[in-house]
This record gives sequence, structure tokens and C-alpha cells, in this order.
Amino acid sequence: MGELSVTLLRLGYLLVLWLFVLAALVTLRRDVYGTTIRRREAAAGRSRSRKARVPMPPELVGARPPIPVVGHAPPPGSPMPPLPPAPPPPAARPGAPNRLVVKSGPLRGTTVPLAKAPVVIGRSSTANLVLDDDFASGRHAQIVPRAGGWVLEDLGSTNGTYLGRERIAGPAELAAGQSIRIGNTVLEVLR
Amino acid sequence: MATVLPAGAKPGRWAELLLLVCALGLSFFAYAQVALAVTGSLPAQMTLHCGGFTALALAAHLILRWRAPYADPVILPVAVLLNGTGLAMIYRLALRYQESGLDPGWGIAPRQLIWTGIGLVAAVVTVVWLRDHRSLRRFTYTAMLLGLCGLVAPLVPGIGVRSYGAQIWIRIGPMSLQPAELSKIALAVFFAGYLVARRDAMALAGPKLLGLQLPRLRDMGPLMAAWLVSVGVLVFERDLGTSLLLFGLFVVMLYVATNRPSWIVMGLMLFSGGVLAAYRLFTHVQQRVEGWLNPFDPDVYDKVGGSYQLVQGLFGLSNGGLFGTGLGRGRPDITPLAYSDFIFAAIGEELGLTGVIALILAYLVLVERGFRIALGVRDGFGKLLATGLSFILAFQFFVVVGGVTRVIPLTGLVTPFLAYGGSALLANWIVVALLLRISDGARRPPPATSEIDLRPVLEAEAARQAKARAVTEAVRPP
Repeated sequence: MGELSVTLLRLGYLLVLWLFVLAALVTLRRDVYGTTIRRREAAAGRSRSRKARVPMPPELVGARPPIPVVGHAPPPGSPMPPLPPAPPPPAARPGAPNRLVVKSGPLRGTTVPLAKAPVVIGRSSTANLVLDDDFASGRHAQIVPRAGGWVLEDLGSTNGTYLGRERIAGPAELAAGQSIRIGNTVLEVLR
Repeated sequence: MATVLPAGAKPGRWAELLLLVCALGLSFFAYAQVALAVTGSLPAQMTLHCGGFTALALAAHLILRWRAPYADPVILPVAVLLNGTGLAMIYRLALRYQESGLDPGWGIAPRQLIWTGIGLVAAVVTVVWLRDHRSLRRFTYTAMLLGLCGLVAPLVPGIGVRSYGAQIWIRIGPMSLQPAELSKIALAVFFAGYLVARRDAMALAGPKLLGLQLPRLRDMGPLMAAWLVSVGVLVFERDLGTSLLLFGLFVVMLYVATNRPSWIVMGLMLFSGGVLAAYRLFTHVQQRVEGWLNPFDPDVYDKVGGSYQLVQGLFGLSNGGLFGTGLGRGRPDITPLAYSDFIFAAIGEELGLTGVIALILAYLVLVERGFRIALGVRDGFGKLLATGLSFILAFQFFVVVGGVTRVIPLTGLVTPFLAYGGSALLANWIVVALLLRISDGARRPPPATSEIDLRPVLEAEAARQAKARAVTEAVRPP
């Protein structure tokens, strides 16, 4: 092999090596441009201020109440319904869910155990599960123990609470494996 | 802790394939170039070796398409490139050892090739078996036990083996392993699981002193335990590198979990105390420091355990210059242990500063991806685990390269992916597999509201409205 081809091979290798590294960096350019960084503290303040500006997605606007909601959910804006009288905790029925898992949305992966106390879900900091979700109400829904199982209740939320694909109109019994949607957040009750 | 949301994450699998082909091509280019320079012909089993490596790497790529479609597209190609470059360099040294009759008696190149295969298979198995990194959290304390067992195993008489003064090997039949390499991963899992549960207490409680939030005394316990384990590794196994790595890993994960600089301050204080004591007590630590400060002093240079190796490595690097001597055309074999501890000097000699900087950048990309994954993933456990794993890679590389280039005293750690060492290669491939798994979780877009089909709900409500209207109209007199 001639000296020239040796030099060409030697420098050619270095060139390709650098091209590889640069190609790897080009692949990553999306990380630098066009990401949003949210900090925990900042996110809370921002979502509050954004609430006024962000309109409902158009496909939802037509469907929002003025529907006379059949059932126990009070109209939006009415005072909180009193918490149901806490029944003495009966023995858990077999098959009743024992934890609540956030499946999607900013809190994805969070797990809340369903032990004895009711779990209030909403954007307000007084809720048990505080959602960082613009489409959730302050106190949106609650999950209360009843007769050894768990019952999902809407607390007069603006956008409603969905069990599976159905918007619930009154207290709904929960079975393990069912999914709950609140705003942009999907939760699942598991056993 | 902040969360970084990607703007429309792309899976990037095609980019990965392209980069992977480049990385494989570069590895084979290096392999062929070495053989051409040393023997004048292509290696006899080139088709077999290259075919096998390609098949495994492409299989890993296809498995990612199947099981982790949103995994980071850069990690796998970079790991393959580093591993391939290391293989070519080890092959190059093995050729030279054979030629000069210095062959250490075992074929280092075939062994490393086999371990590469094992490592890639382990990575694939990890990605397939582990569907969600969060399930590792259940094994927090099991991982601690496994990690500690791995650290203690070389001390057990019968299976523990002492070589080069360090008692870090176990021998089972024909295989010898460094269990501490795998312990690092297990301990990273443990630290992540433990800290994610305890971080609030560690971050908030405790007195304030000079603007530093100090922890309560009882929250200091785990830090002291980590320190004691590191000291134990140093004293009983004479393994300075692993000892530093374990303590550094814990302090860094503690800092990331709590965001309190006081942990770093205390970690550094404990570190300095430990290092001073080790310097006083152990001759091998003294030798390392002396070789670092005065490597060119003839006394230090000629002494057993002196700076001969370090200085030969430096000569090799300077011989390489800006563009290197060319693969297969230098004399990296003069440096003792050029295939393991000093592989970086060997590569620097033959690829020059240009090549070495490209490789350092490749490492930088790998580690940056790890930290980026930690920012992107949404659960605290994943964040801590990704941070810990990328810190393991970064710290090992820094310590080895820093040692070889005389930035810091020489410490025995393995250059990830490049250096000879089966257990380390296996462990590093598992680290890469875990990072890929976490990155899949981090980059997978959450289902948007529009993806949930609302039409049935809307239709039902429209129907209900129409019914209500009909009822009111029927009741109301016209």
C-alpha cells in the first residue's frame, strides 16, 4: 500500500468519525429548539393566569351544559355539596379497587392509595390529588368509600367527569380497571 | 425539579438506523485498517465478525422499534461506535502482542468480541423484559442487597481472586467476573428508589447554618452508610476507583434528589477526610499521587508501581500528535496494560487529538442524553435513576481519561465500552438498555384530549337534549 493511500485512509477515518458525531448532534437539535420547560412552582401560577385566556376546544363548547344534568350534580357555581356522612368503614369487598393511578397528563405515574378517607381530585391546593390541568375545576370530583367499595362523584365541575367514555351524572360505582377522565388527565382505579 | 416537554417528539427510529449504519461502518473501517497496516491483508474472519456484530446491532435496533419505539435515537449508535472502536483497538494490540511474542496467553480480542455479543444480548433482553422502568422501584431493597453482595463476593475465600493488588474478581469455573461492575447498577436502582421516598425529609428538615440548610442528624445516616461502604471497598479490596464511584454516585443522587448544596459540601468534606486517611495509610494510594505529581522524576519512574506506565502513556499520546500515527502504525503496546487501563492512551496515539476529541464528544453526547432523559421523564424515580446511570458513565470516563492525561491521580476504573473487560462491558450495555427504556417513557407523548374519542359522548348528550326539548314541548300547551 502506498504512502498516499495510507494517509488517505487515516484522515478519511477521522473525517467519518467527526461526521458521525456531528450527525448525532444534528439528530438532537430538536431538543434545543422548541421545547417547553416547566417548573413546579411556575406552572401553578401560569395555569391560573392562562385560565382566563384559553378557550375550550371548539368541539367541547357546544356540548357543555346548558344541559339540564339529570342526577345529583348541582349546577356549576353552587356551593360545595357537603361531604357524605362518613360511614363506619366496612370490610373491603373483594374486587374493590385499592389505588388510583394517573395514566396521562402532567402527573402521569402518580399513585394514590385508596385506603379509608375520600379522595378529592381537582386543581385547588386543598384537593387530595392536585391536578395541574387547565381543564379541571378547583374541586372537580371525589372518590368516596361506600359499602366496601368506592364511588366516584362529580363535585359540580365545569367540564364534567367521565367514567370510561360516559359523562357521569350521579355517583357511580367504581370497579377495578375502570378509567376516569378529568380534563386532560386520565386516571385508573386498580386493585 | 423541572420537567422538559418535547414539542412533538419524533420517534427518530430512521435517524437511529442511519447513525447505526455509520457507527458499524466506522468500526469495520477501523478493524480493516488495523489488519491492513499490521498484516497487509484483511482479517481472515472479517465477514464472520462484522456480520455477527451487524446482526446483533440491527436486532437491537429492531427490538427498539418493537418494544421502545420512542427511545432516544442516539444512544444505541454511540454505544455501538464506542464498543466497535474499542474492539478494533484491542484487536490491534492483540496482533502486536502476538507478533512480539508478548501474548499474555489468552486471546483478548476474541474474548472481548464474545463479551460484546453477551452485552448486546443482555441489553436487548433488558429492554424486552422491562416494560416500564418504574417497576424497578419495587426492587429497591432487593437491589441494595444484590449490590452489597456483589461488593462483598470477591472477599469470600474460595471464589475471590486477587490480581494486580486488588481483590475485585470472583472466579466461577473458567469464567472470572468483576461483580462490582454490576453492583453499580443495582446500587443506582437502590439509591433512586430510596431517595425518591425520603427526599422531602432530607431536603426540608434540619437547622440552617451560614445559609446552608443542614440535614437532621438521623437523615445523615444513609450518607454515612454510603461512606462506610466506600471506605470498606477501599480498605478490604484495594479498589480506589469503585470506592470513589460509589460515594460520588450517592452524593450526586442525593444532591439531585434534594436540590440542597449542603449535601455536596458534606460529601466533599467526608471525601477529603477519607482521601487524607487513605493517603496516610495505604502505600498504593501514595504511589499513585507521587506518580501523578512527579512522573518524570527518575526515582519515581523506575520504582515498582511507579510512573513508568503513566509516562509511557503520555509519550504515546504525544507520539500521536494532532492526527495520530494511523491505526496499526503506532507502538501503543509499549505502555503496560494498554488494552485495559490505558486504552485511551493507545487510541490517542493512533487517532491523535482529533480522533480522541471526537470520541470524547461521543461520550459527551451519551451522557448528555442520559441527563436529558432525566429532565424529560415525568416520575421522580426515573429522573433519579437516569441521573445516576449517566453519572456512572461520566464519572468512569472522567476518572480514567483524567488519570491517563495526568489531570488527576491514576485510579483503576474501566473506560466504558472501550477498555477490555467483560463484566464492565456487560454492565455498560445494561446501563444503556436502562437509559433506552427510561427514554422511551420520557419521550412518549401523553395521549392528547383530541385522541380520546368524544363523539359518542357528544352524540348521547345531543340526543338527551333533543329528548328533553321534545318532552317540554309535549307538556307545554301550544
